[in-house]
Amino acid sequence: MLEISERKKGDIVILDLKGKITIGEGDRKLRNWIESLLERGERKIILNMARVSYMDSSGTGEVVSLLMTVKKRDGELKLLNLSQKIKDIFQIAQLLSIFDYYTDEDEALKAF
Amino acid sequence: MKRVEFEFSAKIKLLNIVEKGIEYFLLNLWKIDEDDIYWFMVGVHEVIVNAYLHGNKKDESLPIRVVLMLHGGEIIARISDKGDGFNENDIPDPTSPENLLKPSGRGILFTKNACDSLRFFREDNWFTVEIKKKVKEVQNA
Repeated sequence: MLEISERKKGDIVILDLKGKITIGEGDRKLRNWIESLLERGERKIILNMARVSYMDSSGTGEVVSLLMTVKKRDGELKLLNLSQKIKDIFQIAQLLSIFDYYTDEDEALKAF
Repeated sequence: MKRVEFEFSAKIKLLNIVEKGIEYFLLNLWKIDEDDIYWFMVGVHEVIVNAYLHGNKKDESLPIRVVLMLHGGEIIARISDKGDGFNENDIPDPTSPENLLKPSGRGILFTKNACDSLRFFREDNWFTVEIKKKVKEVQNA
């Protein structure tokens, strides 16, 4: 189960995620949400993953796929507050280097 | 040795409930360290999803069998499906540059890294994936 809440700071959308990004539900929910943001013309997106407890291989693939989708639409996707376990999961997949990730929200906002 | 075995057939959305049950069992009855359970369940989840998607090819009438054992500080899961199985050597390396940005293909990689060993075998019409992990048992959990 993944809960998503949306807030906006200037022209940047922050999605606060809570729960698991896994096959069958969390991954699809996140994709649908980001696709609707892109449809609305949003191009600067932060995923706040502070309360993401677990991400499986499908969820990891979905986050990679979303990064590519946003880039293709001339947007930027940044990650915020990765827990050590989520960081480890990205590290296992050797994907940490493809993301911009931050531990401080103001720093992430300034990075656009 | 402690041992538990069960079979189920389920929709993908309900796999989560089966996994929650295993997690509850490991934490509360076998009293295994939470961090060890987290990483062991990374492997269990990937193998169960693999059994459902690729082994039983999403046929919700086919069973998945789970055997859990705890012996000598090591936990073992044997997860079996009714599929043809696969050859590990046929799975592309998801960390190679040409596969890095692909949306799928990381399940075995996650399982290998989360657990200490991984092996596959066929027995009595079941294809089985066995994972093992050394764990800490918590006496007063």
